[in-house]
Amino acid sequence: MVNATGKFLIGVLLLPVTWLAQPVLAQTLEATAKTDNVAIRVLSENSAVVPGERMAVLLQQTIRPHWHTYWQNPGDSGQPTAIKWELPAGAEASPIQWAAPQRIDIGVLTNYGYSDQVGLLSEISVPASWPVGQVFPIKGVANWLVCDDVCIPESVPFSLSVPTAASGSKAAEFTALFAAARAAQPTPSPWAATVAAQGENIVLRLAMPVTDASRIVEAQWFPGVWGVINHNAKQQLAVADGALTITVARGDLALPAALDGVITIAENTGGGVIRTALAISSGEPAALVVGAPTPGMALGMLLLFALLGGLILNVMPCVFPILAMKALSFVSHASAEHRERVIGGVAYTAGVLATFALLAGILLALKAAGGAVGWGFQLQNPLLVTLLAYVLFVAGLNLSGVFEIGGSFMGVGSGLAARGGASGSFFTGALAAIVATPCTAPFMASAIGVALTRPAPVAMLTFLVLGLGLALPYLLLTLFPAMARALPKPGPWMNTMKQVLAFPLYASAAWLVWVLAQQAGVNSVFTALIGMVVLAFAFWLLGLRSSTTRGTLWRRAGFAAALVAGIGLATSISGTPASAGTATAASGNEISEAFEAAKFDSLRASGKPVFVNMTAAWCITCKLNERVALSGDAFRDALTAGNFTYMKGDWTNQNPEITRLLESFGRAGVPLYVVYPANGGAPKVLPQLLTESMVVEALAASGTRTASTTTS
Amino acid sequence: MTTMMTALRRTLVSAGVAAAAVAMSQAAVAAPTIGQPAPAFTAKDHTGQNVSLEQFRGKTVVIEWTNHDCPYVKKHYDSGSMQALQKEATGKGVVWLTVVSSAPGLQGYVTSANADQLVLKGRNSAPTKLLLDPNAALGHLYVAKTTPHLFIVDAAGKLVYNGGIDNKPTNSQADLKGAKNYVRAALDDIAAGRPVATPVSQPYGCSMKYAT
Repeated sequence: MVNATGKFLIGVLLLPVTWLAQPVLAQTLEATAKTDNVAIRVLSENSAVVPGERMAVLLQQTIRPHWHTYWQNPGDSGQPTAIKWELPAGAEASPIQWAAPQRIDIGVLTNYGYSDQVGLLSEISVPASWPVGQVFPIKGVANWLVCDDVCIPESVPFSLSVPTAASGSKAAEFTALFAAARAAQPTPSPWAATVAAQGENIVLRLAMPVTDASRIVEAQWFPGVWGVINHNAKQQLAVADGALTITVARGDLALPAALDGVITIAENTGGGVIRTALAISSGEPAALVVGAPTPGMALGMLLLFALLGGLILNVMPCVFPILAMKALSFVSHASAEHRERVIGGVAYTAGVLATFALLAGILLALKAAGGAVGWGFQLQNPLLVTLLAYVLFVAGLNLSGVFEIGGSFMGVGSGLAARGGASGSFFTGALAAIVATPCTAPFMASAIGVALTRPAPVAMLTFLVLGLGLALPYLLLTLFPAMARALPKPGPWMNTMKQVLAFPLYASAAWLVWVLAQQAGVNSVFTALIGMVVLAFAFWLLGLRSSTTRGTLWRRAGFAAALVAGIGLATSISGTPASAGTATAASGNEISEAFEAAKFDSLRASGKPVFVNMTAAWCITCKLNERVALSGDAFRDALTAGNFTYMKGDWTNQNPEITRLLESFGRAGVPLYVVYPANGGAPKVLPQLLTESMVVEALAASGTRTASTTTS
Repeated sequence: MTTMMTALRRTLVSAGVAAAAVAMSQAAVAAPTIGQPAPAFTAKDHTGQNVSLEQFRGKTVVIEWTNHDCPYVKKHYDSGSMQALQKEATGKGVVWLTVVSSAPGLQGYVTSANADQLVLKGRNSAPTKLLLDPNAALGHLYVAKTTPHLFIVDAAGKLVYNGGIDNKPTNSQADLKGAKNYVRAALDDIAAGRPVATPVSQPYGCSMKYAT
């Protein structure tokens, strides 16, 4: 341990640099050097390079424990490692191809960099005019800042000599090091990223097909340049509606038009945590909020926006019909007492506010418990989605005139809302608030996520004002009879209007079924639709008129039975394990076929090579691998060349055959990739993070053709 | 059906935009903001006297965080360039406050007893005041991140600059040549009555040695 005086000396004195490099030879593919804090190796990937081609050079830093070197954006302090090249004329070096960084928090400051060991690659282009046979000299000076609680700039020269030849060759002893350095680099993201300013926050949205928030253990965004975000601020992660969003306090500079960066994601696959790094680049920032953010914007301003947002909820397709009918009740009950109306309006407002408070409370509680949730969390449960679709559908049936409850609309499948007077109004309000959420969830998700970054009391107040905005038009109508008088006179048009209003509700229900399809697959859609047919039957029964008491009894019994059956169907959807995923995973790709144990066993028995990919719709790592490693031509060619059968197992809904195979490899989750060689050879398990070359090599080593040559 | 869904979506999108506005938030971050009043403070100088920002109202004030052992600070002091800028500025009536926020036992920590030797005469520096901030109250108030890290407060008490000394974030004296000194440029802008052209830049250097 260095004491304070020692640190002082280290800070003051330039450290002696010890050279461990070999004497100058005709060929030097490796240079090593060591300071007190960092040991470096500089390696040439090529043992011979062809003039006119490019070759990779690796700078490997082994960093003293607890010390760090820095990424391209070092964060709040620090300086990125740099290489000053001294190359022959005509030769060029690429910028450093950075490995994915780590976040290093030191109190109120945050740095982006590396600990322990990192490999930084550069590419050198050898001029075509370079004489073949003459060694190519690669010299340079590597500069870096290395910090623990003191920072020490270090600078080390290095020199390599790489033979040139008519055909290139790689230095076999370094293959693993170069492969590791490439694996530590971020993979270009197959999913689009957008970055937008939202008030005092910056929101990164990555359009990744993620449906299960609980699988994301951690996600961290590293903007490629300084000043975009507050590096030290907590990054709020939200997963909803097919995207991952990170919300973080803004930095000192305005958002640039285009921004590169890295996002690291840790996914719990059930069998362990897989860390991936994606290189992202966003184009023009999609500014969600017009106008420059006012620093220190008053709470009042925020609440005003909340009020406006709530007002807009009134015209949502799922809310408007309900409110319109409620308003029309004025027209038909023009004679009602003013006092009665005011009570109704206040009760309705109370119903809206109570429901918003409840939803916001649940949301804040989940968030406090550490969950990654966003608005619309209720839409992540297939049972709730189905029930909401039912409610909207039945409300539509009511408007279409299939049935009526006490001659008024307010039933909407809910006995509570059907009550007259104050309690009826209260539950109509609650219903309006509940049906408002599914309509808005997909579009409000990230925005509400931002609101959730505020302290809980402010967030709660914001939600309540949002609710007030929703309730306001109706409340005003009840408070000021003059406004109600402006409504058109009652007449037959009311019935037509009512029937027209049914269609937005049907559309909303149809949309919810589409949401359900995303979560629980095609079969669930059939179940939900049959459930709706049964419900339609139930309410049609209810709407029939019977002349006898006995008839009425039968009718009601039939209604009750059909209602129970319809809702029972909905619960059978939620009863399906693994609520997410579409059925396309196994069928969408023509080069693969669905995994079936019987087919698989017979293929193996006949000595055919098989490549097995166990995947699931909610598995991000699986999707990433499929996009970057299992969809290119090289992969297809390797399958064909090796005569492989490519079997894809969709574990979205926990197929027991797949579970058995996973268990046979000691895995509790997906992804799992296994190459089964021809002629019954021992299966080879591939890593959970794939590159195309890795898969192609594994296939080439185990396919039919290779197998026959080795056995002959 | 598709058209219907599109229409539905469109309606929803417009609501979404409004909802986004709802979520527009103001940060509770205490970081000083350009164009806003600079955070007020009273701190002890190295002789134990109280110094407040308020007492310099009417003058331009430069606040410079330093750590005499930091290689990035040494770049600007060993070359004499920081002292030259300091002299140039104070000669024109600008107030220059140098602040040391290193915690006891950490790099750059100075006391009343050794401040003169380590930070002032010992490196030929003569700021208007040297403020000792071992508890980092001032460092945290201004969210100072590196040494050097500089702020400029105008005569009206508003923050007009927050950032590094120049645009070459290295520790090499060779990079001083051709570098754009943001602080000198900002002081020139202020003297000429212009808005500061570059009000924010990346502060670079050693991390602040705050107690953890």
